[in-house]
Amino acid sequence: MSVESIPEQTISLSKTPSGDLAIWIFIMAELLVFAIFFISYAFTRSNHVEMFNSAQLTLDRNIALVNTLSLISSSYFAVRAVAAMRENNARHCFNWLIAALLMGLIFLLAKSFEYADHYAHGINMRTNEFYMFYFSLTFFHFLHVVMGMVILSANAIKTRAGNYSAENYTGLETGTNYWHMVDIVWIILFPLIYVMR
Amino acid sequence: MIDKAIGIRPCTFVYLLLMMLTLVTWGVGVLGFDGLTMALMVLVLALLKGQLIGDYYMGLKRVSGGWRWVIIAWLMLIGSLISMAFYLAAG
Repeated sequence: MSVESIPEQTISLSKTPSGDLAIWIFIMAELLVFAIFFISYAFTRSNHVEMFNSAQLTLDRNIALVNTLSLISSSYFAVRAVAAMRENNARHCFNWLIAALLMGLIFLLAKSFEYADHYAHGINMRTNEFYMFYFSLTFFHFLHVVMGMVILSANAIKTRAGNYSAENYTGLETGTNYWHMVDIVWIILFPLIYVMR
Repeated sequence: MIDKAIGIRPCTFVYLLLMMLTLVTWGVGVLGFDGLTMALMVLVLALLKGQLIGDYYMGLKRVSGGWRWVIIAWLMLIGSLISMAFYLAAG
């Protein structure tokens, strides 16, 4: 469960994290794959610093900012959705989930616009090693956003159908935990690819 | 805690903090700051943001034992190796 809205004095440490334990195994596997990507990028860069730095300058940091703010907002809305369900307010929970999904949609649209702009300028995965990492890393993450939105949509449908309650919302927490993982990965990806030089 | 002092939910306080730290990172990028020190500072901000999400949004702050360390361990792993790679590149 998220820390949100639980009075401090009533919280005791849990031995297991919120949601289904299986999602945590999946999250760990996903994080490991992204770690390999990030570390490979950083060490490959160390052999081609000038090329990576000059290619990085062609990226649009303003779109990356929109992407980052939309994912952070989406994660926050997902936390509020779980908090609403904990208060047995399914209608608010549903509304927060829709808001989280809209933020995810903004991310996908902004990223698609960025990809289209690159292709319009003749830039693709084969342009150089920087773009090979850029496209493979960001597109792999893009697919995770799509997957996360499918899961959140399922959560929203089940919320609307009255399948969750203040006593039973493990499925909702499972979905939102996956969504937070997608957010954490982008939070590292953004400075690594767009800013650090 | 500041969040209690200003009367907002902890998750809302964390959200505002995440937004602010993101703007700092973006500012470093658009102003063209570079070099090892600046890169590592931006990386530390990103690791801090990841930890806040793990602790407050995924609720790991309230979990004991090994699960508490899932996100922390991952952030430490990538943080140390990315730092090493940037250090080598700067040398």
